[in-house]
Amino acid sequence: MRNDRELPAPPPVAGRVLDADLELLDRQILDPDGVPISAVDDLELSTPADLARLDPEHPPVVQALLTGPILMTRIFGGRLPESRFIRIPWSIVTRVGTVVSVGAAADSLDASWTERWMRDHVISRIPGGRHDPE
Amino acid sequence: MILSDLLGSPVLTADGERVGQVVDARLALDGPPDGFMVRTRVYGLVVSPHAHRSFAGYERTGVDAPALIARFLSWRARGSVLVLWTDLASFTDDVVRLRPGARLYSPRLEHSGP
Amino acid sequence: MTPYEVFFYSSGAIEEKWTPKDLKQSRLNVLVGFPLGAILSLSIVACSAIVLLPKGIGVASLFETALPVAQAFGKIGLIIAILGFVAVTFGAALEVTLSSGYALSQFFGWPWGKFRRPAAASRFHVVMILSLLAAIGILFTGVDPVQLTEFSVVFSAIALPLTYLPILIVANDPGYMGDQVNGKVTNFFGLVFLGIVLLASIAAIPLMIISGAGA
Repeated sequence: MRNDRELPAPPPVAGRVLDADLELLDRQILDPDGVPISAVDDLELSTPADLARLDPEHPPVVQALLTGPILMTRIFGGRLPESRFIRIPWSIVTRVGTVVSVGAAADSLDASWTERWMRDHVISRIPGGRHDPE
Repeated sequence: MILSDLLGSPVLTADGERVGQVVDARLALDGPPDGFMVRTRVYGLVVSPHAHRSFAGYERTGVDAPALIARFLSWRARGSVLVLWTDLASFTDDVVRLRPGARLYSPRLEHSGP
Repeated sequence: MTPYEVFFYSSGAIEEKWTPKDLKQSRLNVLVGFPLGAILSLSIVACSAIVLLPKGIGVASLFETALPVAQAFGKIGLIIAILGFVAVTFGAALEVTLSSGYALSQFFGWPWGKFRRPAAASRFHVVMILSLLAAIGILFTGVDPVQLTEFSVVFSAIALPLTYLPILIVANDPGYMGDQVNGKVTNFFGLVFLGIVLLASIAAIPLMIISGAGA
């Protein structure tokens, strides 16, 4: 049985290191005002040019956070096709901590369209829906 | 491609020996600036010989409390290794194959930082 | 630590913007309030066993558990007891409705909270509306509310470890807690209670079957 203490340390990285499943997946995404946008359901990575002969000089690059209807695949298994996800480009992420912060307001992102739909078609039709609390 | 394409895929050495399955992708934030962040690349894959995914990552983070839980979960994920992207030969038919002479590294996060 | 309580309590802390000072009051709340609730529950069981059981009176509705109080303190006692029941069940209904909104919204990552107007937390409010409608619909089927409550309490017991364990883990995570991570003593008690909670979870269904669910 391989003992963890016998394994060598990998070459150092000149920057922060993040484990995607541990620190990115399922995390809350917040906009600059702290408004929740969605959870991180998956990550979009650039596809290597030749998957049969991977190029060590060109690893996949993180292109976007993905959010989509993953509930059924989580419970029952299977994989969602990429087209079913909504993208939040990696370039607008400002901070990765216990939550992921992005630099664009929630309403400006595709990722919150169901929230806007519910607001425009259900809540605003109920009297008092747009009123401030107390 | 997306991350879930990688997660759960079996990892084999160049000789076809099974190392385990991909439980995580280690990302390095060491590229040139990209918007608010920097370009982030896949640095390596965390591979576990066990059939289950890692729960809370105790085998990597070095958090040792609460003692019983930390020890139990680290034990459950024992034998996990890190393989570098440069040691990956191919990713076809949902199987990751390593190059000949690929090295297995410790998955602990404190070893990977700057 | 039942799931609905965990979501309600922790979300409430954010709704009311708690500071470390509020934790002191919350600790008092927990150390006094929860044992008080447990004593009250045990009292109801004890009084029913002493007063009602010898006479062969079965309790079919919540208000009938107040019969021993009526016997001891007369009309005034009965009125106070009934007011108490109304307050508690109304409060519980509010808590559970909010909790269903919190749990689903936080799982999916939606905006949530009563501090947001409904238009700013649409899916959260829709979930609460649908929960209320579903609950009312269930009542209209004529199901016995006492029996239903017993079942749901048993299933809460079964689900207890699933909320307890993550909280114990997060309480030790320096990423979330900074330097406020649990000390060794807290962890010791935390693990002891985890063991108790696991036992309760495993024993819940067998106990329910053996005791005939209070039938």
